[in-house]
Amino acid sequence: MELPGWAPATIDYTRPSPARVYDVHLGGFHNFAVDREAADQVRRFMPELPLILRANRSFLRRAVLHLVEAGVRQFLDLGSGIPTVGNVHEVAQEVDPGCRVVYVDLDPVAVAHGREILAGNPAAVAIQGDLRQPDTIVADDAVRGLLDFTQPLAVLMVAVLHFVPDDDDPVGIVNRYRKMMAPGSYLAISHASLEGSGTDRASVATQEYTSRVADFYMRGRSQIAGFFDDFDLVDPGVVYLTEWRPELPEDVGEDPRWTSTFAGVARRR
Amino acid sequence: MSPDTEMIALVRAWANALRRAGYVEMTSVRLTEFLSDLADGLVTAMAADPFREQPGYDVGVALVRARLSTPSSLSSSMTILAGLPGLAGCSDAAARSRADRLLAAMSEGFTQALQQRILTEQEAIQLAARRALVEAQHGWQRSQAQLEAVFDGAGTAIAICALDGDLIQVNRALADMVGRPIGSLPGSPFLDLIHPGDQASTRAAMLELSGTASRHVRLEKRFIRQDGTVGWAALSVSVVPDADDRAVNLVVVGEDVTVQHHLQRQLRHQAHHDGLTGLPNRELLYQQLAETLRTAPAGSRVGVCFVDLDEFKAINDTLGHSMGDRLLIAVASRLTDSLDPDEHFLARVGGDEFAVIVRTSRGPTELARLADRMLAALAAPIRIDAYRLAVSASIGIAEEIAGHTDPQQLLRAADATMYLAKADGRHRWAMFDPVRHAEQVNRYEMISELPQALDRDEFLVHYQPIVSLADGTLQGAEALLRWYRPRTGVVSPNTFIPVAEQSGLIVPLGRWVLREACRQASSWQRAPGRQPFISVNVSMRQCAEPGLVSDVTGALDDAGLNPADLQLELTETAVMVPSDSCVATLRLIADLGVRIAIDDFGIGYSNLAHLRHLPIHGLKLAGAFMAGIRTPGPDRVDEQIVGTIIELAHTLGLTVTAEGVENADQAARLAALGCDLAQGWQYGAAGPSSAIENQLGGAARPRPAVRRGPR
Repeated sequence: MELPGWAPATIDYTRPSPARVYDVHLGGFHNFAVDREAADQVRRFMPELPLILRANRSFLRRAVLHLVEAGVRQFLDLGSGIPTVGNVHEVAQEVDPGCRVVYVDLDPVAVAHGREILAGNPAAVAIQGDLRQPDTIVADDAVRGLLDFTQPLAVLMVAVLHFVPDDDDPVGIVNRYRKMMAPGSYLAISHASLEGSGTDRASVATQEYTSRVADFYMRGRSQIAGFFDDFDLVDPGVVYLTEWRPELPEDVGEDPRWTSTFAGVARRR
Repeated sequence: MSPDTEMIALVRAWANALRRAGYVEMTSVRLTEFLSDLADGLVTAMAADPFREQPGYDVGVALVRARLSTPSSLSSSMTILAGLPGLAGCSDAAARSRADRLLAAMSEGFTQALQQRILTEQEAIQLAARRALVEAQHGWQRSQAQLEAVFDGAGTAIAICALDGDLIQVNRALADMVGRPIGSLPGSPFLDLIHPGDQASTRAAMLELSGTASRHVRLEKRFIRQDGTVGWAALSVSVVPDADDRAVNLVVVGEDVTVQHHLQRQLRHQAHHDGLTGLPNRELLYQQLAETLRTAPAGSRVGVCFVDLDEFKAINDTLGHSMGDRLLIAVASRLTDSLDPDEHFLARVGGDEFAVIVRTSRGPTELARLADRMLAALAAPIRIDAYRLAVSASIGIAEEIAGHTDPQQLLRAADATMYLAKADGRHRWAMFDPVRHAEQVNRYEMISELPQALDRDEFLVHYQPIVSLADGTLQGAEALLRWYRPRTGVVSPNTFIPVAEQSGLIVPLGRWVLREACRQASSWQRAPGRQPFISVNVSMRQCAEPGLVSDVTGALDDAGLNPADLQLELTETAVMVPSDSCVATLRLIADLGVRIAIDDFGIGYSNLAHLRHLPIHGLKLAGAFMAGIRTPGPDRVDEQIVGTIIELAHTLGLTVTAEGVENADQAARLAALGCDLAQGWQYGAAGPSSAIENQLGGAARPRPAVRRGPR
């Protein structure tokens, strides 16, 4: 029997959660033994994974700063994870305390922790939700209370769409968000890819991650670029993570392909 | 290197080392500023008096607070800061000792802060986990409460059953539906609520379901209320599985669909019955016939009678539709009374059409008797208000061995046969006759084919020579239409002309023949000397068309043919009908100079006195007369009649042509009787125009003066 929409998701502490495994790789301690164990095992097959995750986090920071500079004051962070290090609201509100941020994650623990951190911050909120249900998320009271969809906003999907299988129609899901965004809004995406690192290693790592943590779906650069559809890509377009507006030229590294992750930011006309 | 440059180099190296060690939240610029401040503090501490280790401790804490807190963050910081004495500008033993003590303090500060952070974050995540769990439980309780509210308040009946079918829990709607107190239901078998006639099938469906998990089934069953009344319920039965997908319970969701059910039955009845007479309609007749044919024992016969009232339209038109309707009701009732409901199935299939299926026919004789019975049932006038309406019917009968036919074929045969009964004079029955049926079918096919046949050039004109009996010379030719029907070959004009007359196609067809024949005659006349005339048949229908005059002038003009060289042949009936529009048309044509002849003269009813008032120029004696003209004949009466006709015709100034002349002897006798012209096998059968051309060329004798009748 399928659970009705208003029934809570179950909490299973015996399985690692992607949000908490991410936290382990970023050097955080908001995690359980199962998460740390899973993180170690995945790292054994893909030693550069922690570096890739850091590069993702760094992209998020650069993207948010760029968006704040571009005038965006509302953010919807889908798949935000454990809000510990380099949060969107910290980055954005440091520039303008008026920035409003909604965090959405499937992991009830991550969300509960997010609420704790954000208590007393009227301009940021964390809700539990499934990014595959755009209409449910946008209809959420907390989201409606903080974000105005008739005004430009930024939807962030950093390192999260690769958890959505093709059967769930990720293109359709992203389309739905894009349709609901007012002109002048931005979409930021980073997504793991089979391109870049050797295909064999990537697929082994994918299998490992899938069996230890959660299902994982690599996609090609053109597929990833396709998520932006008719939005105008901000320079430099869809590129490897570290190539996207690096702070220092040396941040790119000799061969940017090592992250095997593509990132981009685009604006709705 | 100046101290400043050294400082910048150290900070840059430190920043790079930390970036390698772990995730750096700060931007590069912020990180440089941050580390410069820390380095400045340490340089100041090196020179402080009195010397304190606290600044080193603070740097360690600051690093962790900035989340630069991986194990390699500490070790690489230690390595980089080993250059501290140089940076402070003195590298003696005392300075090195101060630096060592500062770094040791930094390590302690780092470790303590990290420990603190680990404890804080672990506590935070544990708290968060507990809170999430509590929230989930609240949510579960909330959903549980919501489920109960839905269960109790639902308008649809819901029952939770054990796998053995005993009710565990039911809601108010279910108790209301079956009219029992809610408390009396749990513990009793669900099947007790179901009508005994539906219990077995319901049990089977539920049993099948409990064997497999995560499935459900929809049923529509009768249920019994406490007061004994029966209703219909739409049921949806689902299995509730446990975590291992084993069936635990059954959930039955039901809705009282009694009203819909009755409505549906009513609609179904309406869809299959005639609203006026209440008899089954055409659709149900068809279904019934199909069913009868399908289930009939091998070799048994099935019959159908198609009953159509005669002249019903007249009653409708004169007495009104409501009277017509009442008559139909009365007819339906009389027919019903004359039939055996076990053996016969009566339906109203159209306005005044009824059909009877005879489920087992003992042969045509039995069906004929049945038809007689129906005709007799309708024989007595039907009284409606002050009227006594006499009705009769025509009945078509078809019957066949069940396996040798299908419903459509049998109904069509009976329907078509009914039309034969009508054609035979109404108020009678006709038995399906394969030969007549084939003719009829052929007729219908021709009606549909004829229009295209003209477009597709399937018609051809043949010509039969007409010669002078005085000297045997060719005087003219009769144009005869032939149809080369691709599917069946040449069709006799006797077959298709009546069809063309009936369908009206004779008009364009006749126009075409006229033009073709005139064109042909004109081409013959281009040869020197001979001027044969052309004789073309015109039907009654064509004659009634006002366009015939312009058709004739058009054909003559286009061909460039002299009107005197065209002869139109009409039957006696065409010119003898009382309506004189045809005669008027003929008069106009005669005025053009075209000759008119009466075809097949002598076989119909001819008003001889009337002949002289008609615009005609000649008679064509019917071929039937030729049988009496031969030597030695048994008697001479026929010959005398022919002689009299010829004499009479000559008195009226008419030319006489004999048709069907078969031999020289007949020709000689006709010549002796004074007959003017002749055609027939003796002079050549109808054929292509080349035959005429050959005769013209081969017998190029000068044309003698021939009586062509009065002008």
